[in-house]
Amino acid sequence: MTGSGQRLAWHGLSCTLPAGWEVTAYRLGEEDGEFRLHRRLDPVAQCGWKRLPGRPDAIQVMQERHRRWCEERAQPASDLRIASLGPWTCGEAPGAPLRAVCWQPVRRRLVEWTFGLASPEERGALLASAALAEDDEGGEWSLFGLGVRPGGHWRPVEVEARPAAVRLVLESDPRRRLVARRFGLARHLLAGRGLDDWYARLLRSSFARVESVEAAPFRGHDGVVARFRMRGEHALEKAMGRRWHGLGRLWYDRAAMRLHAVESIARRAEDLVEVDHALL
Amino acid sequence: MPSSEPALTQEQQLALRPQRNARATVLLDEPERVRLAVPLSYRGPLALARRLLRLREQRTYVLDGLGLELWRRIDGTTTVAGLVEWLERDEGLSFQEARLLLADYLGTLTARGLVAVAVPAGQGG
Repeated sequence: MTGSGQRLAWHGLSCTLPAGWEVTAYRLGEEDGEFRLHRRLDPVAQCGWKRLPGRPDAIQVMQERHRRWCEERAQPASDLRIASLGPWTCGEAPGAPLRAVCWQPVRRRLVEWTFGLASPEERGALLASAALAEDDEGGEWSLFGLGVRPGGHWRPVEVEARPAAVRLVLESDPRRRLVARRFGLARHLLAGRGLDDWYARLLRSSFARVESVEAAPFRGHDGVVARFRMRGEHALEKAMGRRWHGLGRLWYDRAAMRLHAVESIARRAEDLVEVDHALL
Repeated sequence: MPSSEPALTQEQQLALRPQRNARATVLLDEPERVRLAVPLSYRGPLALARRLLRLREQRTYVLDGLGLELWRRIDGTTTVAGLVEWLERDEGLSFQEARLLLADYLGTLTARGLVAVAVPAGQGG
C-alpha cells in the first residue's frame, strides 16, 4: 500500500502519510514531542523531536539507538548501514527498523523517524514528502484529517481527539483564535436536521450567540456560513460581558461522510481570519 | 499489584463476539428506536429487603441512532472485527476511529447490562 493518505504537520514538521496510516499516540510539545503511527494493528512508524543544547552526532545517535534495540532483544549488535536521503541521515541493519534523523540548527531540534513494519516504498515516500521548517510562521497545522494554514504566527492551545470527533484550537496575537473541527458519523449527527440548524446548535453548545447562518456551498459540498458572538474569556471581558466576533463555516462532505467546520474568533471584527483561505 | 481486568491483546479483542443479555427484554421495537428492560439483581441484605423497600425490579433503556444499529448487529456470532469493518464500510470511519468508538459503545452497553462480552477461557491475562 503506497498511496498517499492524510497530511501530518505540527510545529514545522510536515509530511504526507502513506494510505491507511493513522496517528495512534502523540505528545505535541514544541520542544519535545512524538507521533506513533499504526496501519490497522501494525506499528509502522514513530516520529520524535527534541530540543537539545547542541548539535548531536547523527550517526552516533542512531548507533546508540540501534545498540539499545539489539540489547532489548538479546541480539548481538550488528553494524548500521548509513546513507543520506535529502536532509535525512538514515541508518539500517538487517532485521532492525530503519532510522532517519535530521538536525534543525535554528530550532536546535533533533527529529527522528523510526520505521517499524513500513514497507520500503512507504518509508521512501514519507521521507520524500517530509519537510522541516525552522519556525511556525505561516505554517501548516494538520492532524487527524484536520488541516489549516492560517498564515502568520499561530500556536496550538488545545487538541481534542475523540473517535470520529476532532477539534484543534490555534491562537495568535492580537487576541484571535481559529477552531477547526472534523466529525465522522455525519448521518447520525445530523439525524435529518439541516446544516444550518445543526451548526447553530453546535455553536450554541460552545456558548456562542448565533447572529446568522446562511447556506454557502464550499468546494462542491453543501455548506453554511455563520456569524456569531462569543463571550470573551479574559477576566475583565467576562465581568463586562464583552463578546468577541466570530465567523464560521461548516460543510458536509457526503462522499467521505464527514462534517468539517472552521471558526475564526477575534476580539475585533477586523482581526477575523478569512476562514476559507485558512483551509488546506 | 496484579490487575483484575483480563489483559487481552488487540487481536484477541477484535476476535471477541459480543452477545445480547438474554435477560434483557424488548418492550418496544420500532424502526427508529428500541426500548429495553434489564432486570436488576440485588445482593446481600438488599436482596432480602427488596420487596419491603420496594426497590426497582428493572431498569429501562432506549436505543436509537448508532447505538440501535450496533444493537441490531450484535448477535453472538459477529466478532468485534466484523463490527469494526461495518463502521469502516458504512460510516466511512478509519480503522482506529471505528475500533475506539466501538470500544466506547460496547463499554456503555456492557455497563448497562444490555450486552456481554465473554472472554474465551485461557485468553485472560
